[in-house]
Amino acid sequence: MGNEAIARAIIEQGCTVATSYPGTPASEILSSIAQYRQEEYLKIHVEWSVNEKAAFEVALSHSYMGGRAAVSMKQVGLNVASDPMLSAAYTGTIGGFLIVSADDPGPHSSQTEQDSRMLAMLAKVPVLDPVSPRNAMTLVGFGYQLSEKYNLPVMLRPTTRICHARQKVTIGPIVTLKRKAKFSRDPNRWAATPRFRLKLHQELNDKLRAISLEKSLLPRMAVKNPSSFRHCIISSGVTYAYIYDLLSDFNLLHEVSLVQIPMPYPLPLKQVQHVVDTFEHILVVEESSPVIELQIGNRNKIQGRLDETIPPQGEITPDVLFPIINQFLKRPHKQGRISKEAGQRPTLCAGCAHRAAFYAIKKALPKALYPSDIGCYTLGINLDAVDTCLCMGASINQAAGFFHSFQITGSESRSIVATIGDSTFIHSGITALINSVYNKARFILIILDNGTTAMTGNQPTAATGMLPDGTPGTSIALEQIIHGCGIKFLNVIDPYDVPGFVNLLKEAEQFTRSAQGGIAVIIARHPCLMNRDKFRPQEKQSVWVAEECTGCQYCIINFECPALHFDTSNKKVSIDGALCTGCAVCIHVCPVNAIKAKGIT
Amino acid sequence: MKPRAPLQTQMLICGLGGQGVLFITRLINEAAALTGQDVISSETHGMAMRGGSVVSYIRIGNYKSPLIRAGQADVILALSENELLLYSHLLKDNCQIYVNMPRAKKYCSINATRIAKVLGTPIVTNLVLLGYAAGHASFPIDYNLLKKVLKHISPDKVFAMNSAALEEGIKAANSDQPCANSPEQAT
Repeated sequence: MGNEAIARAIIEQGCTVATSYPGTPASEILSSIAQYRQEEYLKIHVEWSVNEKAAFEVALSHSYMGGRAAVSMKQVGLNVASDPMLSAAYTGTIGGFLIVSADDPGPHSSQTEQDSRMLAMLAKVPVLDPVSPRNAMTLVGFGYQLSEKYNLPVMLRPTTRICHARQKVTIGPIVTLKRKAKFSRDPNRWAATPRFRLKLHQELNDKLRAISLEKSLLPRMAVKNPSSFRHCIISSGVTYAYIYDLLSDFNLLHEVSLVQIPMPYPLPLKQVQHVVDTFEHILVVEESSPVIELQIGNRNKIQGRLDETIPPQGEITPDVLFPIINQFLKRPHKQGRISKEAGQRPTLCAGCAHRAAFYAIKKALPKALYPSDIGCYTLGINLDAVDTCLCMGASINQAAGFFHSFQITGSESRSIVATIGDSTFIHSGITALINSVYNKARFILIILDNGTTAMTGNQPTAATGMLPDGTPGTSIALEQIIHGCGIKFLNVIDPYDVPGFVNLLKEAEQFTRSAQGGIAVIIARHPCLMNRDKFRPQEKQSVWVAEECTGCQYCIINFECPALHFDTSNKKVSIDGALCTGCAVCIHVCPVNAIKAKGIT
Repeated sequence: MKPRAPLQTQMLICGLGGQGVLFITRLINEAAALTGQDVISSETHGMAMRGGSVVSYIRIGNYKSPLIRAGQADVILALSENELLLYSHLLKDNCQIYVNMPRAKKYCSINATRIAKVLGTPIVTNLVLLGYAAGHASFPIDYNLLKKVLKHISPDKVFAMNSAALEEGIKAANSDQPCANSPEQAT
């Protein structure tokens, strides 16, 4: 897998500190590094940091000490890490420092289609754009060389189709650099005041000018060809590979010039301008923003994102590219078939405790406003129990914002029930909770504590205290944090106990409205069923649908458990024994009590 | 035994999150790689893995990129019928179709879910379907290679079950009536 290839290349380069916060499509990079460490008995500090900013700063500090370091994250994670990144380009680095930020055009599993290369440009950090997993391995090597030659952080920007591609790659030896950590005091660099920052900025600009001339990263032609061709396509990343295959399919590689840009920023301006001057028609194809295109001075001949020849949103797949390239080359195009079917939407797993929690919330406080957050539980949207999902940790600040908005405008004050996962709470919910308490907001906060970062593949969290290799670290108790934030109402409950949860929610609601009240926090604690490492098989009950079922499908619509099916032959609901986990939560759902479980009637 | 090494084959594996699309993708990838051919593939991860539609693209041969264009897939393995329809626009007219569903006359189908349940667990439905596909002479990858890779990548405690599922699929293909296999009928 692309992420495994990137991980492998990172350790082959002698990286000794690797950090990350999980996020699709980047998650497997760090877990693969952890696995290689174990298999190859390597001395590497591997950490799942609590958020991307922490991950960035820990890895960067190792580079300050002379070691090679890597930090990986998804593109929206880079937003969280952007504060240290923008400063790090100025201060520079010592040991090679690689930032891997994985973009998700589509988007397949993200809130935005943002282009990390734009942030790299903003931060003045060189960025490399791999066209395949194999090429990503090469660019990791170039990245470390570049970083150490110029003492700058370097970004590798893979996209989903690189991260989650599988390709045969060649594995190389792992370099052991045997560097001792050494901090060289240089306050004018590491602790620079604004006056010295100006000097550092100038230094940075000088470095970027030199980097844009680096021979190994100049634009390269797919096929050496004479300049008599009139058409040229300039591309980077996986779209380059799509175009190569398309041109190859139609035997066009010798009729049109195809140029790959391995380093979109800083763009080798002279070389690219030369390409532009050589051809009559230029098409620039890149995901997701016009980073290369915008750096080209004279864009008269250029088609691309800016004139919307390339759609300004959505993934650029071969099927999107095919008609564009045909039109560019003035070739006839026959519209291919398109899919008319809708795909199946994802849903919470059978037996997922989040479903039980959402059901109880809807039952206890059906008219409430439901700010939520990023994680599996965003799927609570299927259960109408999620109204907002902005970014990591926003649920809590948004709950506070909604409360203040109701208050200040004298509007009817609806109850507000925010939901956030345990990992997201630790990532960026804690400061939000402090802010909310301090500023006297009132709402109910439910921490859906499944003891893992489930959506991205069950990475451990600080609350479990498990390290990436499965050894115990120090576990951080959520209860202590929450009490420390000044919360007076805190209860822990297993959401499988639906009636208990409903009562607790009503109690919490009263607290938020009482004279001495404030924010009420409930920890809904039940381990994730997908977390096979940790999960001890829970008591499984035998669940069935009795004759009383009226076929109203209330359970299917309002509970949406994948194990519940409507049997069209007898117009009743049935339970798929293969999917049912025996949690028996659905017995609380049926309006006519037709769902039965052994031991419970 | 000389492994078949097709020059250029484009394959789709589709199903719902949790049905084991990723596992058989990896199996086919590694088996194809054993023939000495280059392989590149693309997988679905993230939120869709929670029961949503997932698809893997596998391209064996001299390809640089992992996705399959409309009308270009040579082979499809569908773990559910709806997903077959979802991706049918990607199939060639003479695409080999293998689908997990009871009694389809239109294309090669097998009730892999039922066979897997008889074996003891629906989890191996994916391997029954793969065995069934590989049991057909026209399938681009030799099932002996699949068996070899399966032994290598299965955790010890489930290898016996995985192996049995693959064998059951192959057996079903051998006793199968020749099946019509055209995407025109699939769409």
